[in-house]
Parts: sequence; C-alpha cells; structure tokens
Amino acid sequence: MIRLAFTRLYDFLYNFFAAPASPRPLGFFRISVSLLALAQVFQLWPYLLQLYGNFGFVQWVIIEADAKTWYPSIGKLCLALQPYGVSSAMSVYGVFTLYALGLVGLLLGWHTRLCAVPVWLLHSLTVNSGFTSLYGVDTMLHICLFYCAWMPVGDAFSLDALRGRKSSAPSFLANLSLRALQIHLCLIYLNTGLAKIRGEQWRGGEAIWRAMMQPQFSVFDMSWLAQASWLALLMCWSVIIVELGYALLIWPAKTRPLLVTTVITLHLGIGLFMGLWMFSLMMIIMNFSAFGFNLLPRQRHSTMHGQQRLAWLRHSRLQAARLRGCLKSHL
Amino acid sequence: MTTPTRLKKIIQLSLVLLHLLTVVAFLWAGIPGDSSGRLSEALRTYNNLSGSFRDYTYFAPAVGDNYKVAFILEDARGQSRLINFISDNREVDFRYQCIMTVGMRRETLRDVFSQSWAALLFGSNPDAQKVTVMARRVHVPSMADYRRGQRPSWVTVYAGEFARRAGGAGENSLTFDQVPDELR
Repeated sequence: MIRLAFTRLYDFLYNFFAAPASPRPLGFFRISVSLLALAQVFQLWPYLLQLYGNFGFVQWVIIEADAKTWYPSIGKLCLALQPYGVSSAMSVYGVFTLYALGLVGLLLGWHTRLCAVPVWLLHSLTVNSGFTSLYGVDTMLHICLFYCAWMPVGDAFSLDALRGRKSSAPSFLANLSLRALQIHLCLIYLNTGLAKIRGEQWRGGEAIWRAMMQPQFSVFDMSWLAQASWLALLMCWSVIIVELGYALLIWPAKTRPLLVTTVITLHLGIGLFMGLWMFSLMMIIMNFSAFGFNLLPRQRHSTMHGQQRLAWLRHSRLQAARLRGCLKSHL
Repeated sequence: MTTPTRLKKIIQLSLVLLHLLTVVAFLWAGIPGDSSGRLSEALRTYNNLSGSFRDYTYFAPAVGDNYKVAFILEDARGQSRLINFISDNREVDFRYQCIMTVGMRRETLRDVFSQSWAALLFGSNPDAQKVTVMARRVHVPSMADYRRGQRPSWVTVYAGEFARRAGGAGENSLTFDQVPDELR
C-alpha cells in the first residue's frame, strides 16, 4: 500500500517537474516583460533624477541609511565610480541607459543570457535606489527579471534560436522554469488572498469602495457604489474567492481556462477602474505565460508530441520500474 | 549510478525548490526578518535580489489613505507660489504617491522627508528662499456614512517651513545624523 502510494507520488512528481516542455511560453514571457520594462523606462526617463538621484525627492542619505544589509544600489555604485569623476547624475543615467540597452537585447533574444543577467542586476540597483517610490509593478518586474536571468527564455522566439545558438525543442529546464513561475504565482495569490480575508474592510465590502474613492486611483466617479453596497460586498468576496481559489483551481485542466480568464479579467478591471495599467499588464503577462500560453489551440500539443512523448513515457516507466526494483530489494 | 545529466537536473530542481522555499519562508514565517548574523544577511540579500522584498499583500488587509503634499515657495521679495506634488504622468504620479505615503505615514519620518523634498525644490528653484511643506491625508467615509451625507475630506497632518542655507542644492542635502534611527 505504502509502496504503491510512494510509486504514484514519485510518478506524479517526476512528471510534474521533469517532463520536457516547450520553451515557447518562456519566449513570450521574455518578450512581453522586456517590452513592459522598456515602456516603463520610456515613461520614467524625464523623472529619473527626481526618483532615483542623490538630490531627488528622497536623498540617498535616507535610502542608504539602512546599514543592516548590503544591497547593491546606484548610490553605492556612484561611490565606487566617484574617484573616476563620475557624478551622481551620470551614475543614474548610465545605469538606466545600460538597463534599457540590455532590455533591447533581451527583447530580441540576442545573446539572451548575456543580456538578462546584467538587466536583472541593473534593475536591482534601481529598485534599491528608488525603494520608497516602488509599487507592485516594480516588485513583479524584479521577480520576472530574476527569472529571465536563469530560465531558458531565449530558447524560443529569439535571435539566438533563429541563428541556431539555442534549441526550441521541449526541455527539462523549460518545464522546471514554468513550474517555478506557476508555483510562485500561486504563492502570490494565496498570500494576498489570505491577507484580504483577514481584513475587516474586505470581509465587509468597504475595501473596494475605499480603493475606488481614493483620489490616487480615481478614474471614474464611483460614488454611486455607496448606494449599491451589496455590489461592493460581492466584488470584495469575488476577489477573495478568486485569489484563495487560484492555488487549487489553476492546476486541473478543466478549471484552468476559467481561472486564467477570470484572473485576466480581474487585472483588466484593476487597470480600467484604478488606472494601474502597468501593474495589471505585468500580472496578465505572468499569468498568461505561466498558465495561459499553453491553452492556445496551437500550443496544446507543442509541449511534447509524437515520438518525443512516446520516448518520454517509455523512459518514465523505466525509471519507475527501476525504483520499484530498488524498493523491493530494500523492503 | 547517477549520470552527470541527471545530477545536473537534480541540482537544478533542488535550486528551484530552495528558491521557492525562501519565498515561502519570507511570506509566512517572516524569515529572515531583522535578525542579525551572516546567514540572515545572506538571505536578506538573496531575497532582495530575487524580488522577495515585498509581500504582495496589495490593498490588504486594509486600503490605506492617500496623502496630498503641496509646497509653497517664497522668494527674496516675499512673493510666493504653490507647487503641488503631483504629475500628469500617471505612472510617475503613482510613484509620487508612494513617496508621500512613506514620508508622511509615520510622524517620526515626516521632518526628514520634508527636508529632502524642500532640498530638491531649492535645487530646482534658485530664486526660492523659503519652502513650506504642507501634507494632508484624505479621509474616506464608510459607504453607510456616505449615504448619511458625509463626504471625503482632507485632514492636515504636517506643515513645515524650510529656509535656504548658503550655497546650492548640495548645501541643502541631509546629513546622516539627521536621519531617524528607524530608517537605519
């Protein structure tokens, strides 16, 4: 009994983590993350010194005050470059110029890893130098760039693949990367869902009302919502249920399309009604890459097909048989 | 026997699981928190680099209040003008809002952040001799109170006046001893 359960668990985990998968969702992930990051740089460029500079709204002496941990930042880089005549403004523009150039390389998939690692490190510098001005999109973007640095994101839809430097064939690492992104998304939604259900404002329907009425997020006049408090309550509980249910319902093939559609709709709603378009797009990109891309009709069978799948199953069964043999000799 | 390819896969899988474990530890166990020691420092740095520095609990458990900051600039002739801490660029405005919230949420931080903002304004407005920082917080009534006639209102939470020191923008910069302990 225990042996059977163990074998089944092994088979499940082996298939879950080790079955080769197509790198195409990761190619889409790379392109869309790079485009969004470039759009962000383009928007922020005229305000860089205000947001990240030594004499910006938050001076480096405040940003760098936390002496507990060594975090890379533009301030520290500037300190290192100062003997060579590099000013703080030059450091800020230099970091963002290199970051933008790296993003172009990442977007095209040109020497992908060589571009992805510096882009991720440069984004770390910007994150730590503009810590007080960060919001959701920056956190998510940093997670994505961290993943781009080690995932095989350049194996599909890239110049590297076009020139034959990378193979677009299904691979173990592509599957493992997708699993990491999928599990990370589940953790994100579970944590935010748990935090919301603990909040009185969310349980009572006030949270949506308060968010819509904050001048910062006000896109439309939503004051009529006070006359339809049942709708606010319904919206709050819908968000809680979707976020808490995500970690469970996103996995079964039957519920996945519904969940992906619901979550994308939720983020479109956040973009439309609160103006948080960059954040919403970021979340849509993450969700679509992790769970949505393979639902597209042409992608369904691209993970493994024909001979590859047959070979994989044979190999899998062989592994299981070997394990069973091992167990038999030990028990 | 384990082949090198298989060993490589096992290492890759272990690293991914370890990474996800650090995310879980950060979210639900508060690890490494503020604890000292080399391991905690290394973990904090790893979390910082991997993006586990905020807990994704947006708008939860409660939706916080917005702040509005305005600056009154006064030149040597005593003429004054008002500059609002806002931007037409929505993406930039969200960032301004984050700075305002961080700077004004806690009473102990208000002075140091206001001083930093004033220094920027002195730097970008050479004619300004005095900068007054005014901060207000919006109070949004509950839906029931709104139905009873209450409307969102602004409450002044901070007002501070800063005068130019001799020299340029750099002369108005903060020094490390002016930064409150809680930021260190």
